[in-house]
Amino acid sequence: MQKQKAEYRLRIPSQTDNLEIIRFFVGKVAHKVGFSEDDIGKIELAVDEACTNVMKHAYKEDITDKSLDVAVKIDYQKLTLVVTDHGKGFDPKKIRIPDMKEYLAELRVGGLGIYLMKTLMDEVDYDIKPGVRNQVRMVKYLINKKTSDILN
Amino acid sequence: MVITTKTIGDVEVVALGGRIDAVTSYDLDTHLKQLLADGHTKMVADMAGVHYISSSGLRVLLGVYKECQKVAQGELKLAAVQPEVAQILDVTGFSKLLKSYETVETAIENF
Repeated sequence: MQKQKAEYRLRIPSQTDNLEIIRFFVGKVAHKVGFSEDDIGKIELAVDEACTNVMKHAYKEDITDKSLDVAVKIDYQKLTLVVTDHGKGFDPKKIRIPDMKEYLAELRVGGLGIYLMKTLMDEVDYDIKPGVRNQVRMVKYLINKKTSDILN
Repeated sequence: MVITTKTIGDVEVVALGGRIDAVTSYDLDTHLKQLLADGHTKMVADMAGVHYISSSGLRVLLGVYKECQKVAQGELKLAAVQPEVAQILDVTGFSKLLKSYETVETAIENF
């Protein structure tokens, strides 16, 4: 397990065929830090969902000269993923985590990606400045959060 | 991703290989919708070769499942789901909707 702080950054064109590279990049860092294969799978899927949202919504699939930044920060007991774009943004207060029973019954549409991010990661929050800079930040603890808080 | 289809009796068995994400789910959607357009509503997705699925892939499976359900005896079933994918199906509740079997043969027997 890597003990020191470290940060890894990737700037990549906002195109869905780059999702595989993004997952590979994040997965390799998570592996280096010492996450289990199970957790690495969850982290890869969470970053995939966050980046897919940017590619499909923030930039509305307008990929001309658009890029996004993926930062992976290692800070002792946790891994923090930060996905940054400069697209249209959204109001985080309007995000609703879908009720999966309603979703599956098709009473509601959308939100499945955000549901997965919230479910697979320990923390998810947003810093939205439409047209300027939008960030989604997700945290996964190497050990459970309660133990981490005690250690800190 | 690799998609191959074979017909066993009146069931279309679609073997999938690779990762299902926002890119490859488009191919999967096109393939399965063509089967629906050809009148096939009994389908088994052989998931033995799939170790990754994102929400894009889940939406495709859900959409095709619901189309199949519109016809009597119609259904999309899953077979040989790998643990990584099973976990995602569980956390999203999809596993309560889409029936999953250990083998393709068992899935076919349960139509």
